[in-house]
Amino acid sequence: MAEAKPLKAGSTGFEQFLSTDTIPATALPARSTISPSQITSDQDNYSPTGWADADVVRLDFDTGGRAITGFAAWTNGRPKVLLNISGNYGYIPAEHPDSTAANRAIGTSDHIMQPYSGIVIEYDDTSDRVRVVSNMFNAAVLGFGNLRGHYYYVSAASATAGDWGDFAFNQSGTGAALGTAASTATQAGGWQLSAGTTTTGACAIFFAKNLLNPAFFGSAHLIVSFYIRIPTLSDGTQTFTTSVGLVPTPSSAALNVNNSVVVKYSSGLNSGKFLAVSRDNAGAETTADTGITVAADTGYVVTVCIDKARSEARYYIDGVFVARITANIPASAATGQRAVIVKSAGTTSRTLVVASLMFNSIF
Amino acid sequence: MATATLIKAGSGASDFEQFGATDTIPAANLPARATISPSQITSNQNDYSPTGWADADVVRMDFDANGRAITGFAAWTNGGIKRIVNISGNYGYIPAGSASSSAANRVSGVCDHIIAPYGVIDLVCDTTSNLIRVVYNSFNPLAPFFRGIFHSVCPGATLGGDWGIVGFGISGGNNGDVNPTSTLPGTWEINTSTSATGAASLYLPKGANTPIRFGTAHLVSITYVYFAVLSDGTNTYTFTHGITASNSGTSNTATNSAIIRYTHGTNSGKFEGVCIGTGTANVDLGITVAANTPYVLAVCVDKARSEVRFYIDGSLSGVLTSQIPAAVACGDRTLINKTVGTTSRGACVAYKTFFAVL
Repeated sequence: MAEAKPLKAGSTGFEQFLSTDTIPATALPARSTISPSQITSDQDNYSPTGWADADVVRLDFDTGGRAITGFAAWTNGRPKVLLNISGNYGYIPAEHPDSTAANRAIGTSDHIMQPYSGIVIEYDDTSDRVRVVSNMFNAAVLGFGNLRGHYYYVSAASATAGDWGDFAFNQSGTGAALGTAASTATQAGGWQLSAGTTTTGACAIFFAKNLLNPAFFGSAHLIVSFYIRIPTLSDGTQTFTTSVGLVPTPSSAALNVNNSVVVKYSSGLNSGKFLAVSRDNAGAETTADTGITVAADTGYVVTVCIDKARSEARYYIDGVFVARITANIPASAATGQRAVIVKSAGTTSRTLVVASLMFNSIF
Repeated sequence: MATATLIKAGSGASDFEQFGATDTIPAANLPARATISPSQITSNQNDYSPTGWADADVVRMDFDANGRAITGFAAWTNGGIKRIVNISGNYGYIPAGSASSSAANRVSGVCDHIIAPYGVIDLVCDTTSNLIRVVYNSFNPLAPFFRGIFHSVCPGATLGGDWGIVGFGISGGNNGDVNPTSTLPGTWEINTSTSATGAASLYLPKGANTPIRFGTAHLVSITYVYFAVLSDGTNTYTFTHGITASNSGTSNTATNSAIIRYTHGTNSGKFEGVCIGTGTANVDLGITVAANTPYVLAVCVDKARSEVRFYIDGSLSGVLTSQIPAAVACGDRTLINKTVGTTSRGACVAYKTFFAVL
């Protein structure tokens, strides 16, 4: 590229534009708007006719909860406004492997495209990724930021059951209990889930109290997230497993539950790395290595997403895509959200600390 | 429109050349963004079009303290995004779909777009749909600065003592939780139990249950609800949702209410917007209620108490400008009342949101 000054008519002939001359705005190209056909299936490397130079893209989603896993990279350096003109949601799953790497969107999990609203995206040709600049969706503001769905969120506070309307907990075994963990110089305070002093103790926290299961797998797009740390790691003497994710009837402290999508940790599991798990209606599991070796007393944000079509579960840790599972997905069954620690060897209590948890459904 | 290639100086003293594919115009020669600063908005604005609007890129808006509406904007044709910057410490709002502006100048949205103090909204003129769309809005009632009240709850416990913000009203009725299905969300149920006059409600907030007055703030109440069994002649019930002066009570005809109502024997079984002031005003919201079909119901009342807008599933469905509630304290309530029959009937509530912007 090289800068070149255009010519203008001067008093004695043609002159180069001066530094104070500007081209009339009306001589600049109008913004280009395109209206692609309705999106009725997931889209990879999305590139409808006119995409490369489109400034405004009017998207129309059907009721299936469709994904756009990536967008054909564009080179004009301009942002694109994506308008959802429909009354249905769509979503952009961050770093989805079904699109070419350079066409994927950066993000900490799924970018929901709320009905009748907009998302602005830009292409970052340094990172070779699409970036979401703004998004009207706001999961926490039910009714206008998030038209149809649920949003449960809580940061650690009271460990008294009667203080809560939506948050709840359960434990089994001597000494197992929910308490609170103090903040440290580097880590947030949280609820402390203690597995107690038996070899099989367990403690769970969950959404939603009484209702237990706010949604069905397959009825809505589901996202859950946890901010956790494990003060002392599991080992051969004091062995425990943590599991966080979507679980039917989350008031149970049983570790393995049919129709669940979770992230597990234990010393003897996946070499001590977080393990993504999807377990179907019959108890068959598919697992995926997240590649994240768990360190003691280190905070992790663990996020699990499953689409309405139940075609895949995706797993993000600390805002980075780490795994996808497409087999042994849960059946169309009710689900809630749970974090649990379950002991399997040793009688010294071990703990899971949860600073916050969030459940979001989008219908 | 036609594309024309620019001319630049060539290598010779008087030579001209067309711009090459890699030539770019210096940034200084491109037009600057056009910014306008219209006069302060001291009344509601229809088809808003201050001087310079058509080509403005940035519009610095100044609202007075009275919660003014911009019901629509003169459509513009340059395809650009307009950035509305609220330079004042007062809010304004854009009521989606408002009929006070011409159809092509109205703004899409699921209810009212609040323009937060010192906030920003970006607009695009959609000349295909012939309306204006909001691309971005910095308003966030959960942000550190929010001058107002915000409550939002999803279903959980059914004991009032378990909650700090949601209250349960019961008069012969009851409440419970309803499991999700393959198509419906999990919900609370407020039901009539087996009483022919049973009533039950959910209201926001508990304790300080009428935390704001009509006329003090911009008020919005929203719920996501479905009915497993419709009202009929054998088991007749009335459902209401909205803002009322008597939110901890269970009368569905309480004075000073702005509500959406459903029963089979009124308005042909369609949702109806209702205002109860010194008398009652009604508007047909046009949506026939179907069983096991979720609806998002929103009621908006402006600070001036000039009108009440009713939105269903993100579309403006009706407006009332008479029998607006008086300037009395109010809160949010979702209520079911039985009038005939002893078989329990219920309304299933997946969330409730109530907020006030001052």
